[in-house]
Amino acid sequence: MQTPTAALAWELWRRNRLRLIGMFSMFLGFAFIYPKLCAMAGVDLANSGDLVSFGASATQGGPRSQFVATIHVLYIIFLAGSPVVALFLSLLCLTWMFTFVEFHPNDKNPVRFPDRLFMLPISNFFLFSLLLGGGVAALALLFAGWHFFVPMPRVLQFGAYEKCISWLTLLALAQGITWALAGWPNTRLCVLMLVLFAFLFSPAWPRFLVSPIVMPTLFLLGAVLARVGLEKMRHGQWQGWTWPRPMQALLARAPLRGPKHFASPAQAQLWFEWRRLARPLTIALATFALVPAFLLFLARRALGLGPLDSNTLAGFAIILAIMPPAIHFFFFSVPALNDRSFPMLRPLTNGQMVLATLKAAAVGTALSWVAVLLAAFALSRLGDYKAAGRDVALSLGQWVGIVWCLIFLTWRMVPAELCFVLSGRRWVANMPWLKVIGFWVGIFLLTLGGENEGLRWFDSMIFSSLPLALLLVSKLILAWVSFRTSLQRHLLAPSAALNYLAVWSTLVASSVMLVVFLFHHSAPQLVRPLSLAAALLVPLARVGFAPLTLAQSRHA
Amino acid sequence: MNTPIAAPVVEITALSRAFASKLALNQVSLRAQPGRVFGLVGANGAGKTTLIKHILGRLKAEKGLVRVFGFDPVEDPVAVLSRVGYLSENRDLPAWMRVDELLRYTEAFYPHWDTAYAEDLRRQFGLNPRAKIKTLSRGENAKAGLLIALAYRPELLLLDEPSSGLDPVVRRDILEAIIRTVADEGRTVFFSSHLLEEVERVADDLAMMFNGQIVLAGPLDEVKESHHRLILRFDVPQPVAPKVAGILSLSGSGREWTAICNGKYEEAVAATARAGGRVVAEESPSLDEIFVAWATAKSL
Repeated sequence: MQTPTAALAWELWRRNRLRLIGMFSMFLGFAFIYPKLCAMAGVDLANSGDLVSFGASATQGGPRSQFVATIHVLYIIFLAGSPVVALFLSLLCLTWMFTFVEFHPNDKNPVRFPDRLFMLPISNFFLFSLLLGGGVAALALLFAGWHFFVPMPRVLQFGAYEKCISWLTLLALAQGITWALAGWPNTRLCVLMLVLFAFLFSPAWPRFLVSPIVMPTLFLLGAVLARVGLEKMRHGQWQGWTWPRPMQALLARAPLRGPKHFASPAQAQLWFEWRRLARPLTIALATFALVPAFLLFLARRALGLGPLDSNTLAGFAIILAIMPPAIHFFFFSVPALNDRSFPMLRPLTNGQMVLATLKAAAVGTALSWVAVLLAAFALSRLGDYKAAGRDVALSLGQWVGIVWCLIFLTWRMVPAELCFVLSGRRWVANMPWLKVIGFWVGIFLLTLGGENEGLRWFDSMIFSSLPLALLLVSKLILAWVSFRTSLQRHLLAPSAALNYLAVWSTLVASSVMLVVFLFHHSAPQLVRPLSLAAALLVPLARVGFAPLTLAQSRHA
Repeated sequence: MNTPIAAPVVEITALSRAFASKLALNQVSLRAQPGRVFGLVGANGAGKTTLIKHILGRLKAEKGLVRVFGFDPVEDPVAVLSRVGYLSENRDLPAWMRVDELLRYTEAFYPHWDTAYAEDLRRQFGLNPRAKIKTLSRGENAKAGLLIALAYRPELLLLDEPSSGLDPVVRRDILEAIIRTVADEGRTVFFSSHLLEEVERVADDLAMMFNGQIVLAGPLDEVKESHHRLILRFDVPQPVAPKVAGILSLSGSGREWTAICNGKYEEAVAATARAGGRVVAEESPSLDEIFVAWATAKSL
């Protein structure tokens, strides 16, 4: 490394090599393997104008069972969405890399520009031009690679993202906001989220995106902010707001908020778990759901843009429905966000810690869904849901059932992964992500071959009552073993175990009732297997194992 | 009549622990008696924090036995942790909490939490109850950690490098006073430190660690009495440190050298004579000198 440029490029590579290798592998996979998969599934990439026609081009063929059709639909969703998601992730990842921020272990700040760079004999202008210029070059290269070598499905809903200038603008704005607002971390987070929202919801701003003025102006604004921000950050000229100080003096005289004392350690731990992750998660989800819906509502009303078209509205509704389970899954499956080293030193049993997490997650889930439903209601003022869902003939009861399932699924993401994340061992903690990969690999393997032989075999062998009943029995045996061990080792109080068993029974009973209510007329043959599947979905053994795996990390 | 010997608060027997190929603790044995201040000293990487983590149950003994108040801290963490106050080296407090929230949260776990004492300490430390932990300075962070470790009057106060980040005034006037008060009340303090003067001022018992082993342990007075600083004078100038049996370390040049020996005074005097020198003065060494002598001896 002879030059500062080479040294910084090496640092960029060294810090992000796994991400870069992943991005390159994804690119190769989509350039060479993806077209073959589409061809095998009967998808015509050139003539897929929207998601429905994309799916329709692949659903030709003989009669299929409901299960085979479901798996096939999942596979089609995978084929339609995966290149866009992969491109999105790659571009967002590059944007993140070129802001050059890193996790700071001392203050646990995940978004901190490394001060050590300011100790090096390099000018601000050099640093700025290297990071912005390098970022622009890398983004353009990646974008061009995907554009020319990956046969993307031409699904109209994603058309707005197929403009390189918008990604370059996002990079400049991200750098500008991250560096210029370094002294105001909360404000920075909000502004970054707003920019990301505006970008994610860009299909709703078609006129905005095609304007020849808006994007270049925003790019320049971002660049200027980045240049000035870097300068100010280096010389500590922006030190955060000064106005809260007089407020603090006033607040210090006010009585303390909240309860003076917690009634029990369990209550204190529940508060801890709520404040540690569940509350920030709820606030983030509420912001993600409500702010864009509100902004969209205001902007469209103010600009007189008229109602949203049904495809865009359906897209929004899908994003809203996916967000809570996805975000809960993400936050509760990242080991760094689930550090319990502080409560581990308190006189608490492992079971108390686990159950407090479950309760806090349940409260967070319920509140997150209140926000999501409010956002869905706000969107209903902007378009016609009935027109958007014309191809899905479901009754009101079935919609309520689906929402209930999604709420349950959101909460389930937490107990289902807790036993892995709490283990303190890296390979076990990564199990939730491996399961996601495994799920899609499984779908892929099952749909291999045009005749779906694998799926039919799976349908006949697995999706019947006997194997599901056997799985349920093994789940109950594992749960018995795990709870008994936890109780014997005093990791879990008997009352806590009984409480959880009551919750499990209630959830299973309500899920089974829902299945009976939804399917006993339309598909009575599915009631029994679906009831067994619903009982399998409610975590029991894994909750029993969570105190045991927590013991692994507590007493390494 | 024999005085009954109180059961040790901390009892560690032949404890060993390895991290990959590095042996962090090697056959460590020690006992901390109630009502005494136990100082643990050692170079960086000697294994002090690893040892303290075993006492807390944060690490499970691979070999050997750890008992705190007679309990295994891994098998029964609640029984142990409810009687232990701990200040970590990294001041690992939740950054998102405010000071008042930290107090309220911690209070919930300890039935003997003394609210008035906690408030006294908070005022003494000058901590703003509304300040977020992440906005505190390193010293304030240490004070907040110390506050929550002390406020329930734990039977065992476990301090890992407590002075780190504290200014000299707080260190000398507050920390040392607290440590002495805790011990005077019949409770036990177990602390690790790099500051040997501080250990010398407050500790009753001492253990010195090098490379995962305890090389020296016992009451501080006995440790100091068992070491001697000798001034050696040779007839002929010595170009390199002469080899003298029974001596831990030797420093100086030419004819006059300073040696530290450990309980082998007569042996050292005889060996010096054989090497062509004599002992011209004998003094009591400081703990600092004893530590450096052991460090030199262990690194050779």
